[in-house]
Amino acid sequence: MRAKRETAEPQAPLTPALFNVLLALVDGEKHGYAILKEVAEQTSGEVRLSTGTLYGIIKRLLADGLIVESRMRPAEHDDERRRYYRCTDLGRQVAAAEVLRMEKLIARARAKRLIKSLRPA
Amino acid sequence: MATEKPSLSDRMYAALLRILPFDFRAEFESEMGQVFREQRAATSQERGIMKLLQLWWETIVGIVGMAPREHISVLRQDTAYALRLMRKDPAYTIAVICILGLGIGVNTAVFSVVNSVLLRPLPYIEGNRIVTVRQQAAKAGLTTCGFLSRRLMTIAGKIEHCPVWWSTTACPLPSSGREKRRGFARVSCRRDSSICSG
Repeated sequence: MRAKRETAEPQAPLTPALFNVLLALVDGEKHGYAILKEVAEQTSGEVRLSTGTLYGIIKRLLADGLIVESRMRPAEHDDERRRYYRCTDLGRQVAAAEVLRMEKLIARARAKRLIKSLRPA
Repeated sequence: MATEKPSLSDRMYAALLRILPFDFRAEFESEMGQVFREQRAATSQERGIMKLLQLWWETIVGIVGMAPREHISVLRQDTAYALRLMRKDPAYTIAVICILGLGIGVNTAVFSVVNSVLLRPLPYIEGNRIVTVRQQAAKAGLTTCGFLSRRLMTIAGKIEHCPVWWSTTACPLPSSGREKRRGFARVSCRRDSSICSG
């Protein structure tokens, strides 16, 4: 098992797929299919995860301690075979750190008037 | 409760998952199967056959793409674990390395001998057709032997078109015949000298 991440500072930027999965779990427990649906909906289909990619990411996030398996089941008559995952405090910090990194990037782009020029007319 | 027989799609998906490492499958296989089943159901109801095929394509590409990464990840974890164990008990590690080295060395040496003696062809052209020419020992009382080495070698060389190795080892002749055949080499014997071929 790989060593768990101890600081929220990402060593490298998170991949879009990984960041989207983390973001989907920030507001509560979700199972695999719910994560897939939310990511597809929130990105308007721009990020489409296959089951292989999703569970590769889930495995990595679990190993890093950014998410954990949750025993809480939101729906009463839910399929018992489903596994739910939720974001840990460290996961939230890592996601927030990534957002800050992107914010700084956007600020730089804005200072160079790049964003304005990219906006649709 | 009777278990439901898996559909063809489920079986195909399960077969696809077999390219993933065992540990990964043990942890996520059933869950992935369930999620893919839900994806398939939703896609075929809402979007039709073309989208279903696209889903299959994306799933195959996704799993085939991630399989090498997962295998490398498992290999890296196993290697790190092995190195940690080795560092923990150096005496045992050294003993194992010595035994392994000795075993591999002995194995290599035995194979070298077997290879050069039994497996590798002789270092001559058509080495499998080589013949041995021996001169009968005169003192053995079997016959009077002349000295025909060069001549016999020439004869044998002409018959077999291969190099001839000359030896003076004593060799009994058959009492009834004047010639002896051994293998594919055949050389005639003469009264004043005799040879055996082999």
